[in-house]
Amino acid sequence: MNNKILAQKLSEAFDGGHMDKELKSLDREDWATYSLIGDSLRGCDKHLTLDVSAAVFKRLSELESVNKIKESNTVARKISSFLDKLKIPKLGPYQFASLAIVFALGVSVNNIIGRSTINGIGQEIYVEGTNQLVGNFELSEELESECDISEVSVDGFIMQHERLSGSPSMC
Amino acid sequence: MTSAESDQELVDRAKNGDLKAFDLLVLKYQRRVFRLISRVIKNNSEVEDVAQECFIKAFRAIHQFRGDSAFYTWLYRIAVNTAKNYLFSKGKRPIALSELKKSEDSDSFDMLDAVSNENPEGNMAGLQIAEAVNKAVKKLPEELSTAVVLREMDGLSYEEIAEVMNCPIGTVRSRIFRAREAIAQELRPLLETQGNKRW
Repeated sequence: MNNKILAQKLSEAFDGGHMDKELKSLDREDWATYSLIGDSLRGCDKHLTLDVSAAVFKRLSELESVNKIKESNTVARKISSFLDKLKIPKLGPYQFASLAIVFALGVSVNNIIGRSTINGIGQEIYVEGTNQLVGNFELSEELESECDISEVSVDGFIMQHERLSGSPSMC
Repeated sequence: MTSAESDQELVDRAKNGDLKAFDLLVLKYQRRVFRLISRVIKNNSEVEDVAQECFIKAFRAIHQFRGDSAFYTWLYRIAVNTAKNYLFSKGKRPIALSELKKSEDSDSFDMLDAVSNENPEGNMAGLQIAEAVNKAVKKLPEELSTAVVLREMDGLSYEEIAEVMNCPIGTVRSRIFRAREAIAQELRPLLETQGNKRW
C-alpha cells in the first residue's frame, strides 16, 4: 500500500473510518496535524499551542510499569495466602537458621553414610573425603528413625573433630 | 461510520493496554478539553495540569466506559469533575455544570478571549496557526474547502456531506483528504519554526 493511500486512510480513520492493521503504525504527526486543523477551524485558537499528549503518555507508561510490578506482587500475595490456607508455616529468621543447620548436618550425615561400606558384619562410617573411620554400626543394632542415625553419626563426627583438632569446640 | 465508532476502536485498543491508541484520543480531544477547563480555570499551566489529570483518570477508568455514549461525552464529564475537584481543593467555588454547558455549546470564537494577557507568546503563536489555516482554506478550490468546512466546522458525516454536495461518498473522502493535505502543507513550515517551543 503506497503512502498516499495510507495517508487517505488515516484521514478517513480520523473521521470515523476503520483503522486497519496498516494504520496501527500510522503517522502520529499527521494525526496531530489533522487534529490541529480541525481545532483551528472550530476556533480553539487560544489552546492551539498547548499539548499534554507527551506528558500524559509518559505518566501512563510509568503507571503501567508500576501496575505490572503490583500485579506480580499480587501473584506473590496469592501464593502466600494459598500457602497460609495449607497451614505451611512461614519461615522466620531463626526457623530458617535452624532449618539450615539441620539441612547442613543432614548433608554431612548423608555424606558420611554415603561413604559407608557393608563388610558383612556391620557398616563402617567414614568422614567425607578421608579414609578415616568414624564409626562402626552392627546391623543388629536396629535404628528406629533417621534421627537416631543422625544423632549417633553426629556424636562420631564430634569425636573425630576432637581427635583431629584437640578441642571439643566446634567453633 | 461515525467518529464515535472510530473512537470506540481506539478505546477498545486502549482497554487492552495500548497506550498509543489512547495517545491518539488525547491528540484528538485535548484542545476541546482545554477549552472546557479554561472556562473555569484561567491560568494556562493550571489548565494543562487539570487536563493531564483528566486524561490520566480517563485511562485508568477506561474499563468502565461501555460505549453507551460517545467517548467525548464521557471524557467531558471527567474533565468537568476534575476541574471542579481542582477548584474545590483550592478552596474556590466550583462552577455549576449548566454554566459550563452554556459556554461549551457556544462555538463562537471570541477574539478577546483568545488574546488574554496571560501568555502573549503562546496566544500569538496560536493566532499565527489559525491565520495560516484560514489562508490555506481560502486558497483551496471551492469543492475542497466546502467539504472540509462541512466536516470540521459543521460536524457533518461523510454521508451527509455527499448528500449536501450531491456527489458520491468516495469523492467526499478524497476531497477532505486533499483539503487536509493542502492545509497541512501550508502549516508545516510554521510548525517546524515553532518546533519544540513551550508556551
